[in-house]
Amino acid sequence: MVTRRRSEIVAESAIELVIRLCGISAIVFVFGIFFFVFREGAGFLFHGLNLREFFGSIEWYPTSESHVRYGVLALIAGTASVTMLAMAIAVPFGIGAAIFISEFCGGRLRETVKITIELLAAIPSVVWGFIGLTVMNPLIIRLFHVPIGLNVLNGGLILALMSVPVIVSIGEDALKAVPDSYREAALALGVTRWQMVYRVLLPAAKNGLLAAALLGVGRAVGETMAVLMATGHAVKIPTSVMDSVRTLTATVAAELGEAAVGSDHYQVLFIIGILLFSITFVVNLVADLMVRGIRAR
Amino acid sequence: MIHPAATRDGMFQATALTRRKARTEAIARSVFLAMTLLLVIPLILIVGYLIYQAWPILSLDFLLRNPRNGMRAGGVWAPLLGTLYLVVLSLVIATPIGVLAAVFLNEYARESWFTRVVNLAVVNLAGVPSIVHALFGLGAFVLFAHLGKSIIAASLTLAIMTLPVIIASTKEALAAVPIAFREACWNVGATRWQTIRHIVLPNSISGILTGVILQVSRAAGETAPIMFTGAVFFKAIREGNPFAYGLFDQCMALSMHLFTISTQVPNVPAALPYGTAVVLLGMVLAVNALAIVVRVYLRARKKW
Amino acid sequence: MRQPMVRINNVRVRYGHREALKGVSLDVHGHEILAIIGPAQSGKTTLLKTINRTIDDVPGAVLSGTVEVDGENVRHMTDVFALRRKIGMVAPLPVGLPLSIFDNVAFAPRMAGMRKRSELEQRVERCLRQAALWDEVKDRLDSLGTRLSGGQQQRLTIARALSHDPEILCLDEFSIAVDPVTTMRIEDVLKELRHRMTIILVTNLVQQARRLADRTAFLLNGELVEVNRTETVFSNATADRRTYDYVNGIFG
Repeated sequence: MVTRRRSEIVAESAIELVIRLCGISAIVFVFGIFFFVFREGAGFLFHGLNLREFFGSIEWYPTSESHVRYGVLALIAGTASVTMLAMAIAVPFGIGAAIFISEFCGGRLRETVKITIELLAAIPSVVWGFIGLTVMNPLIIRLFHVPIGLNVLNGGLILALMSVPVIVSIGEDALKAVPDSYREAALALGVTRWQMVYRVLLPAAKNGLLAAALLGVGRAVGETMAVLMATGHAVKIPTSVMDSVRTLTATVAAELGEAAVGSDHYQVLFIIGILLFSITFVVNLVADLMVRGIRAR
Repeated sequence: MIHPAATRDGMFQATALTRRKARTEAIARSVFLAMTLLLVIPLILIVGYLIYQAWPILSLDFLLRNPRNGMRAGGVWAPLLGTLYLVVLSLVIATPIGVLAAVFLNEYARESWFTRVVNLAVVNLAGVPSIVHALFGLGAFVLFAHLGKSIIAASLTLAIMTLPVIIASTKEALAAVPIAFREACWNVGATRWQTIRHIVLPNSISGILTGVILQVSRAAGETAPIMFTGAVFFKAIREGNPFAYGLFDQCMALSMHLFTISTQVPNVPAALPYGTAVVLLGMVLAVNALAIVVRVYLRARKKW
Repeated sequence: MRQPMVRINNVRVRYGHREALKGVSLDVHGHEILAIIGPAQSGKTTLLKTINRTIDDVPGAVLSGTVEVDGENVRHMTDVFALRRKIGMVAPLPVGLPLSIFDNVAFAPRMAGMRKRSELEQRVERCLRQAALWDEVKDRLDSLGTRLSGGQQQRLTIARALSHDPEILCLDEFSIAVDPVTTMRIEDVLKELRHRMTIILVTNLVQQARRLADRTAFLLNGELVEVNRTETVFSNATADRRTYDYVNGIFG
């Protein structure tokens, strides 16, 4: 009667334990991130930060000698403006590309386009920031006759290109999830492919496409280096796309190095981190609930 | 039998309606093609421009020499080595944890509220902004764990950042193995782990590998998470020595270097930052291309 | 009287709201071939799964009643893997594991702890011969099991099922995806094997039961309608009218 070696059985129990531990690791890390970021900022959050000023004031003077202010409204406006511009470009183009890949495109061409979009996704954010700085900047100055090319437009264009791959990928999944029977039924009625897309597919896939757009928003809001390098350094609410702005992410990245550990400024930066974490948490949660709907079908 | 009407003239001739439809069709296709090209063409143009600007400085020397003269001259050896250290270390940490976590989710866990929560956690971990990862790394590894700003702290931060994608792509690879194989193994008395180790994992390697390789390029390209946890402005190390950094040293990194010389250092000769960008981009694109090749090659060698 | 090899006592299985087995009691005697016939969705596969406890892996399955193998309650066995090695299971769809043919058949003994190459080689050859596959594959034991034809893969599955020396062999509609010639060959294999082990043959081919089985059980909608000697089941002296109707094609 053949039996397994005792050492083998013990090793198996050990590895199954390790597997279970790794399984819960994701939960541990998400909580961990929230905990440690919260920990660094908690002191000031509960003892000193004026929340009304924080959310309502555009005055961000963390290093002032006499007139310290921690208002992030302008920073929120900075994030919002760049994100909105980016989405205004990325969503139609991204979904257009997704429609092209999914419905109007065959074999070889499809593979090539998909690979190119994948490569677009691989470009590091600091390289995008560099492109904004050295390519977009002079281009905008020349084309629009403005003194500085580091502004909402620059950041928005760069972010659009960065967010497109996510939108294309999820959008394509959403379109693929629509059963072929819908397409065949429409075409059998004699409509053109475009009519089929517009009247049948888009309505059917709208949940997934919305999720794709949301994930693009999440990506844009969370982006740090590219906007740090491309949007300029002005902390103010923009009145036009030619205005320089500062986003929440860029502010933290730019100022964390100079803030003394434990100081008020330092803690406020961590509090901004909590704010960012919460925003992207909600956006990704909503998007995921919608995507779960498609994949499950 | 062919219906006589089909061959009669005029039966299948284009009417005004069909002509108009065909036109709309063609226009629609062109519009979508144009939209796609508008995304693809700028990429090609930009990459071309970067290479063009970097050309004067690109050489083997550039890769093997340290930055000199306040980083206004020389090469990218120290940053390049630093990036390699960070990438290898972070993936050595993240891959086993990620793969085993996916094994848990796909092979052991029963569908329940608990697995939904875990999956949610993975998705949310994937969406955390890189600056928040930086804050976490600073708070947890640099300060709380007293690792100080070091390669190890930065690598741990990067590992947690790359973890969710490794989990997701491993899960996909595991799920692609047909359940019939698992059932056949259970029927002959193999334990769950035996089935995973001998049948499921070996046949998921291509998907796992692709996921890991893709994270290499992510780990190499990120700046914010390492900026406050271990990467520095400048550090002098010996050229040509692959073991020049220690685990608790701070290091230079390509991504950080690009940021530094394009925004923090004045009077840098134009080709230098372009050269750095091209090296970083080249590394990242080469790794991604490798992932694609691996994926295609291993798909062809599928065993079922 | 000798204790039955398998004793199924009032087994109920529910998948969520659907009752797959509604209180089935059945004995399987040692060294007999018992056929279980019945239309689709009668619970035949579920019944087999309760014997080797692969029902444990079906999400949402709720079980009551007892199953005893060789006198032992299967639910109380701590080593479920030893139980599964006692029982050979052949699924409806042929499955070649993505391993070499040799490794396919050597898989179970290896997992159970057999290490010596010579022992494994002996075991593999014996099982492939018993499954009537040896002559076709003996020169290519290194080639992938998944590249065999459907009929060969089903025989490979049987070889795998035999590789851990089972006392009971369960076959679940083995001929569904397999050509008639292979079906005949496997039926011959079963006639050989019955001297060594107990065979439970779930089949949708009523005539197959007639050809092979000593006793036949008729399962309908989760209930055991009748179990009797095969000649009786196929005569007009069946204990239940429904058995006669099913066997003669009046429904099913």
